[in-house]
Amino acid sequence: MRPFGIPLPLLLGYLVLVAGVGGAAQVYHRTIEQRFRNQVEERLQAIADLKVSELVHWRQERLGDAAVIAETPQLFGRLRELLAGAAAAGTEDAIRSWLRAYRRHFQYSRIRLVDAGGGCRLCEPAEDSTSCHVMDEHLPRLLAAGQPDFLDFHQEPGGVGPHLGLVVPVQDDRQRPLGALLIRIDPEAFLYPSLRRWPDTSRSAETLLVRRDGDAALCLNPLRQDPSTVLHLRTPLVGENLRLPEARAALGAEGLHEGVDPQGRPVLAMLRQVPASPWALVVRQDLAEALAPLHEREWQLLAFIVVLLGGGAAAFGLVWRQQRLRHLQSEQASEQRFRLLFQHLTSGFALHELICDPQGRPRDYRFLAINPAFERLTGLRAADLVGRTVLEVMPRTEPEWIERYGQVALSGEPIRFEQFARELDRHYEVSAYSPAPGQFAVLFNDISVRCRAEVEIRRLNTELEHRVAERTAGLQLALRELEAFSYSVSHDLRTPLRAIEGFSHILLEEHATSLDAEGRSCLERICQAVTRMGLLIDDLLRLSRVARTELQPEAVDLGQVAESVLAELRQADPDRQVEAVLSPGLLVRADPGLVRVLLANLLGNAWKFTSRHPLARIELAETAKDGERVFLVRDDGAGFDMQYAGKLFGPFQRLHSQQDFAGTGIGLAIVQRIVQRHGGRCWAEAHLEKGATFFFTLPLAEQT
Amino acid sequence: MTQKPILLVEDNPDDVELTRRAFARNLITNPLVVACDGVEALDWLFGTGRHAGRDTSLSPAVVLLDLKLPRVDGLEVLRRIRADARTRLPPVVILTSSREEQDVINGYSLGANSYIVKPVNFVQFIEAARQLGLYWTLLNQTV
Repeated sequence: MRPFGIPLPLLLGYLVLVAGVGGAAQVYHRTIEQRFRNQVEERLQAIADLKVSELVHWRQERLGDAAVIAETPQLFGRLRELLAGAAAAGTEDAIRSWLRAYRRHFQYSRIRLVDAGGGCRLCEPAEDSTSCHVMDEHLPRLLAAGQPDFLDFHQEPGGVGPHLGLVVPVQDDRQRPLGALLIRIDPEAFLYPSLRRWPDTSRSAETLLVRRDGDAALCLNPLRQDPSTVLHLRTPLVGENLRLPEARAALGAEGLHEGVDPQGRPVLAMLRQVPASPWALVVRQDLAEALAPLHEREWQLLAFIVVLLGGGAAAFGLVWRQQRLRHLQSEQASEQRFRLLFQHLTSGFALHELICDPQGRPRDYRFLAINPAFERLTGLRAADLVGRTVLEVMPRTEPEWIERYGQVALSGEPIRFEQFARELDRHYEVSAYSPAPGQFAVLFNDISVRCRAEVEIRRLNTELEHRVAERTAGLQLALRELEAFSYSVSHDLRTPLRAIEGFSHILLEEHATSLDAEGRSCLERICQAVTRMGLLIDDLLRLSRVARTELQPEAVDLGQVAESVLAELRQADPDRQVEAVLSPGLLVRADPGLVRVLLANLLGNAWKFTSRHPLARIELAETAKDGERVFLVRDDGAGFDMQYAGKLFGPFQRLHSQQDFAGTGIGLAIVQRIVQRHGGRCWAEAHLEKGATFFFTLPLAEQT
Repeated sequence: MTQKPILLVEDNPDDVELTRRAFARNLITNPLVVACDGVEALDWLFGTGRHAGRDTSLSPAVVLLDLKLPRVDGLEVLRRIRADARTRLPPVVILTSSREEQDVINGYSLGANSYIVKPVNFVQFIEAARQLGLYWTLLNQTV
């Protein structure tokens, strides 16, 4: 999760901005710092160079002055005379007045004339004639040099000073030293103020004049912070002291040096060696002060960056807030929609959390959220469920529920199933899916009504089957009864007939003598009637058998069957001249036995009703009627009156007298029964004495 | 040698009379035992009931069996005859007015030797009786 839900792109954008600003600031700061340091260095260098040139210039001036004295014959000659002890009267005064003027002009603190032994011969001002030990110490060396020279900063043992000394040797014509003018220069008169001078108001700026004194650096001018150090502050040139600029300068270094002052503060210093002198100049300034404007710039820069980044953050924040606001609004809208859906969904909905045993097997589950439809469909209250587990609420819950839901929550595979809930005594259709690991949501409908309806339908179906079976059994019983009836007719009606016939016969044969001619005629008629009744009974049974025979359809060629039937008819009546025309390929799908009975009746009729004609024609063919294949048997015999066509197919209906054509009138009834049993139709067309045509349809055999 | 009797199982007295005359015309002189129903026929054959004590070693030359009988019908009689070792041998001819195919099949499957449909016409009836009597009585005597 991102902190506070700030969008990642926004956060990254801001970080890029921060990095960019930081980097730019860094580069800018380095450039500025470098430039500023250069400026500081240049300034320090300029100051140092200026001071060095002042010092050099001052020394040259002083030595020049001394040279002027040495080269002024009026003075120098008088000095020689005085030192040689050959001075005229008034010489001393002249020298004194000259020295006075000279001292005053150059602001020297004292001018003394000493002889080669160091004895004071003259002093201006006269009241300050104390000798100087340092001077005495160096005098022989200076006298021997023969040239005007400085005696560097020194201090009288009595604490007077510090001073600088300028020695102007006085020699005779043969260059032998006679004595010297010893000029004492007070550095406060010019040198120190000059060194102390600084072009700006820096508080820490300091100019040090140092000289190497053995293995130490000696500070020659009073420091601003501590003036007492002059000629007392010796800095040994070892260890940490080497970080001090004055030590460096004493060792002969030049240029910029970054070090510390004796108090340990970082300083920036410019070191210069003063030419033609033992001096080295140190111009230093506290780094803190030198770089103070830079730090000020840094602070400004920092403030600018802070303002910039703050502004950026504010801008980003504003953008984010607006985005978040929009997001929240859309989320609220979405949540609102979801809540509406959740509330008004007619299916039950619930969110659960799976509870597993230590082995990770589903053990129970906890209700997290429940919609109103859930309450309605289960009869349970959300307040009683949410936060509790199913086994707490319904301990008798079947384990398969937990098992199934557990699989969904663990595998993430959604399922759909129907199940009976024993606790609730209802059937549910359930879809379950896993919205998050370890959780599952179920959407379900109460299908108890449907299930009950299904059970009811199954029950009704079973009942219907029972009823059908009962009815079938009833029908089979009726059929059996019909069979029994036929059997009965066959057996029982024939038996008395046989008796009538038999005893009539016996009467005729064995008792003929007892009867007259009329009596015998009566008996013969009885016999004929009985024979005919026997035929009628047989026909009736044949018709009944046609109705009861079980159909066993197969492909049958009508032409072949007709040929066989006609062959039998010819055999029975070989004298007839009958032309048979049989179309080939009349294939039907029908019971072969019944087809034979059908054709035997139709062809038999044709055979019979053409018997009066010497030449007869019998035809079996097919035709089409309303797109249907129709078979026909046509003869050119007696025909019949179409007025009675409706009676044609009724049992025992006859259109001809027994005298004209014998028969029982059952044949066409049998034909109709056979055709109807195959789902076909039959009808006839005829004209008296112009023949008859019998049409019938039968199921066609599939063409192979 | 005394002739074996012919057992006629027939409930119709007219048919019995006609059969008797038909046999007489054909000079079949075997004694004719008439049982008017299935029970009596079985009693006679096994020496039980009304015919208890009859010498059952005297087996009939032929049994003429009508199918439609009171009490026990012809097919049941046939089944019992064929189920008993004593009566397994005599030929049984089913003599009936029924043309039903199922009767024919049942009769043969139960061990009937022949099946004759009684014709209505008396002349044909006499002819049938003649052939029957000749065939079965002669056949029986030669065994």
